[in-house]
Amino acid sequence: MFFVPVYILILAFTIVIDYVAGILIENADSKKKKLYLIVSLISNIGILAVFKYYNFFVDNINDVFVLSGVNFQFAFLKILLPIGLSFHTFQAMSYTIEVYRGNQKAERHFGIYALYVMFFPQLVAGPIERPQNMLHQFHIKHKFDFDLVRSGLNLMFWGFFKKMVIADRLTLFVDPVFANPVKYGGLPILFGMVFFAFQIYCDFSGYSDIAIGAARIMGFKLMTNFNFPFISKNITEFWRKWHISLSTWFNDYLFNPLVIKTRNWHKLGVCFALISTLLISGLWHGAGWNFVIFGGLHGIAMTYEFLTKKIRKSISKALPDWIYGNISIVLTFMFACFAWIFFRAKSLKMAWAYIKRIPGLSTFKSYHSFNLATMYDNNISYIDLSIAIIGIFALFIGEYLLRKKPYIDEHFKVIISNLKPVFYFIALVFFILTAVFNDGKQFIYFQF
Amino acid sequence: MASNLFIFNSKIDMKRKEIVHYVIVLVMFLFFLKLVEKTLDYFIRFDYNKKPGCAASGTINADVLIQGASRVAFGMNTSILHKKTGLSCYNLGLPNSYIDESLALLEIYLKNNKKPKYLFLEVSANYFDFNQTVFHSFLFVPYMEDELITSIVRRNDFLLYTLHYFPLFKYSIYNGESISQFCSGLSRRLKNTSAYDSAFGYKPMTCEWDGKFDAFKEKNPNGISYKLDESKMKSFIQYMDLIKKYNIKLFLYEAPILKEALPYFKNHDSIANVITKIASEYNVTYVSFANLPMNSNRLYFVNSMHTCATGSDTFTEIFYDTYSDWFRKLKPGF
Repeated sequence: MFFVPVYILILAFTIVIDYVAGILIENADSKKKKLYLIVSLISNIGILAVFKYYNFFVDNINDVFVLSGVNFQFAFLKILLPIGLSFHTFQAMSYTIEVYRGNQKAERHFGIYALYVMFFPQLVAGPIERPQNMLHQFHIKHKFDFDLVRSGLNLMFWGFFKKMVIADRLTLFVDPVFANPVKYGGLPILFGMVFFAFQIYCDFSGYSDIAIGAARIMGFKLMTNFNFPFISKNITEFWRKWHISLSTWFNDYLFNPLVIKTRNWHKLGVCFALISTLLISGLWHGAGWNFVIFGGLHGIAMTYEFLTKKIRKSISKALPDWIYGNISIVLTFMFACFAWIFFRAKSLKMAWAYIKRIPGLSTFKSYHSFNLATMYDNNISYIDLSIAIIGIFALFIGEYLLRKKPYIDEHFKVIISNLKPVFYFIALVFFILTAVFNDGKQFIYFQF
Repeated sequence: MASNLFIFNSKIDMKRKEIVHYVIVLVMFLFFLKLVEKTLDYFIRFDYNKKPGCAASGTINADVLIQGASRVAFGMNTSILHKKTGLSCYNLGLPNSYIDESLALLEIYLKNNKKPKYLFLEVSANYFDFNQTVFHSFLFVPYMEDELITSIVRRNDFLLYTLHYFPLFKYSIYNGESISQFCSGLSRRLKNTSAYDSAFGYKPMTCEWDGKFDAFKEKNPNGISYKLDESKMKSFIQYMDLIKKYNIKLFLYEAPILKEALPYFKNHDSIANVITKIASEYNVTYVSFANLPMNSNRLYFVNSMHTCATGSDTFTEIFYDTYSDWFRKLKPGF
């Protein structure tokens, strides 16, 4: 989460290790291949373990010591989490694994391999690329392409819109409620929960759009990272559309191998693989029990969906499509919002305090009138609320149009191409007058 | 050969046309952005909920103007002063502000109204305090064509100063406040309401003792010392120079402070001496109301620094008595 210049050595260390490991794996026999892969994986995971998880584990072990009366405490490390560590470590690991599997040739050019790990648009928060998609692009000469520049800029603008207009505006409603949930009643708690879903989506997918757009300007194609997960009909579909580069990473390198290993356990093996993958995925996001529970909840939901697939299919046949589909979307969204409480809360205790304030679970503090001043005490205005709601509407329209035709320019061929400058003008004015410039927050996923 | 040349020339023509097309679009973009900016400038000036809007309306034209921070805005009942003197009086106090904002506000006022005969400036120690850093830049965004205001914004908010060179971008950083001001201004403009309210700019604090002083005492049992900010003192000199330029009769005063709070402001007297020294250099009188008998009574106060509505009325009467000779000079026989 922090940029400390000397931490560049960590990156240099993993680059050298994985670069050498890649070449050695390619040239070695099958026994040594595995050894080199293990060395590479241990180096990468070891760095993650030290910088991200050491204090978490020590904290828990110390707690166990206290409970069992052992008079010993491990010391905590006074280190900062390097920015984007989880992302570039995973990207580096995917390289050695793919070389090991024979899907990718080892990269001989050290500079190109280093560029693969450090490619600036996606270095700090993804998308977590695969060598098959990226490495060959660094060997091609890229010429200036006006259409790519234009479409890259369009995508970057959309990303900035999502981040600065929607996500940063929603922060005003989310931050105070999660910081002190006990202080707030029903409506702000509900707003906080729902708005956080949109905030984190706009924040992270906004960053991905900026990264993909910036790479596109230079002629590089990065993988799609989001596919508007809010209209998913179940959690399994949700994860196919949310942070795609991470979920496919876990799918390829953890879930599938686990399913294969436990294939004799039949359904139990799949359930085990699902729960384990999602628990580790939760832990990937942060070193805390709240993240473990976040992952665990999703794991349980996906296991449930796996086990009830047939029953759900028969229900869906009995009901009209639009009813079943819409109910599924709403339920999936509600579940995702609930699980995000654990993701957003600072700790498990805070998450529980938040959940207790959800109307119905605990006291529902009703309001006689919809008055922001009594609901919040941090100068949130109706203009903030209006911008947030207009922004969310714009998000739905924008994402819908981009799903139909991914290049913004294409939509003008359908309407009137002469309207294009007018559209850009209105969009720019709207952006200037509604984006949060003054008190913008850093991207949420930078902390991972 | 000739056909190749033709293709080459037509390609250059195409490129040229494309470039011309983009330049025209860009110029139009900039023009329309400027147009939107000017529209915002225009309507925000009608936001009379904010003091700069009132000052820019050009309808105040007060004989007696009173400036300062919250201790003026909530502490000087200008309607009483108006009744007692028969002069038009206006309270231009801006809550939670310091000298730079008063200077900018005065500039707007003087550019749009006839100059006041008397100007009273409330100067408290915290007015020049180093730790007082809240500058409400968004209030002055529409007025940045003025050189003095631009220079004040420059030293207080360099980002806004930089952005004001790009069309419409001056409204980007405080867009929430600006939209709110625009809506208010638009509504005022359509309803054609006046900037001159019946309270003459005064906003009484009707609430009771807020307990802030008790919390302050607990937190700072040994009191605090204000640190004079060099930059704010320079602004003060700039303010005095502006008054001199317009040839306005200026009076400096210090509003009432709760008596039991005075020992907690350790360097109160030394700061008062600095102000007195500057005042005498400009041949301006400085009166401190920090030791009035009413200051012993908490009932007149909301907290140690702010009088409540009753306290403000009482103080305004005392204020009138103090300067009555000067007021009579303007309106003999009243």
